[in-house]
Amino acid sequence: MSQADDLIHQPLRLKIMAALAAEKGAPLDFPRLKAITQATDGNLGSHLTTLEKAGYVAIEKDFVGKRPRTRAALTPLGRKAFRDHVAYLRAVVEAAEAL
Amino acid sequence: MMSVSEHEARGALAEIEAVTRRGQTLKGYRYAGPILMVWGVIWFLGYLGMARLSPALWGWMWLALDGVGFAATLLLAAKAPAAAGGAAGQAMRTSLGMAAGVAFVLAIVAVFPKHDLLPYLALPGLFVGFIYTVLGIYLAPRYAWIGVTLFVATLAGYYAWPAHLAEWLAVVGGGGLFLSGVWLRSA
Repeated sequence: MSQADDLIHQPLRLKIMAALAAEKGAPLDFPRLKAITQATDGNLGSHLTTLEKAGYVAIEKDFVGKRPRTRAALTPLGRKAFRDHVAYLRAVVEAAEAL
Repeated sequence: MMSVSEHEARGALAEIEAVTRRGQTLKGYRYAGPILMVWGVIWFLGYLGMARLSPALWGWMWLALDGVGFAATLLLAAKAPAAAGGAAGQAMRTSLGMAAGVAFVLAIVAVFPKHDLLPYLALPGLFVGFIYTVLGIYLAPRYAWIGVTLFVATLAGYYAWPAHLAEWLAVVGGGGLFLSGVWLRSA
C-alpha cells in the first residue's frame, strides 16, 4: 500500500497538486491557479513555495510584455508523489469498504 | 508517518475531483471565449443586415454569415492544444450544437406563417438565450448568465423598441455575445 504524503495532504496543497496534475505537465499561471484553487494570493504563494522546496513544483517567472508572470508546473517527482498519495487515499477507502 | 481516516480520504478524493472539474470548466471557458466573440460579430452583422437589407436577402445573408461562423469555430476548436482534448471536444460539441440550433430556427421560420416578421427577429435571441441557460444549469454557470442576459435583452427589445428590434439585437445581442466571449476568455 502507498504511503500518505503529509506535505500534499494539507487541503490547499492538495488542491494545488490536483490542479497542476490535471494540466498533464503544462504550466499554469498564478491567476488561473488561484481561480481553480479559490485561494488568496498570500496563501497560494506560501504553499507553492513549500511545494517548490520539496521539489514537487517548479516555479517559472518571466515577463509577458512588461507584465510579470509566474507559472507553476508539477515536476516528475511531484507527479509521482501526487499519484502515490491518490493511490493511498483510494486504498484507504477501498479497505474501509471491504470491512 | 501520518494515517488518514476513511472519512478524510473520501473528503480529499472529492476535493481532488472538484478541483479537476473546476479546472476543466475554466479551460472550457477559455476555449469557448473566442468562439463566442466570433458569433457576437456574426450576430451583429446579421441583425444589422436585417435592419438594412430587404427580407428577400436575409436567408442568403445568414447562410453566408453562418458558414463563416462555423468555419471560424472549427478553426478555433482545432487550435486548442492536445493537452486540452476535453476542452477542444467541448468546442466541437458547441459548434455541432450551434449547427443544430441554426437548423432548428431555420425550420421554424420555414414552417410557420409569416404574417408578422417581428417574432422571427426575436426567435434566435430567445432560442439561443434558452439554450445557453440550460447549458449553464447543467455544465458551467457562466453560460447561464449569458443565456439569461440574452433572453431578457431580446424580450426587452421586442416589447420596448419593436420598430428597432433588429438594431437592438445587433448592438445588444451581438455586443453582448462578444463581451461574453471576452469574459469567458479571461477565465
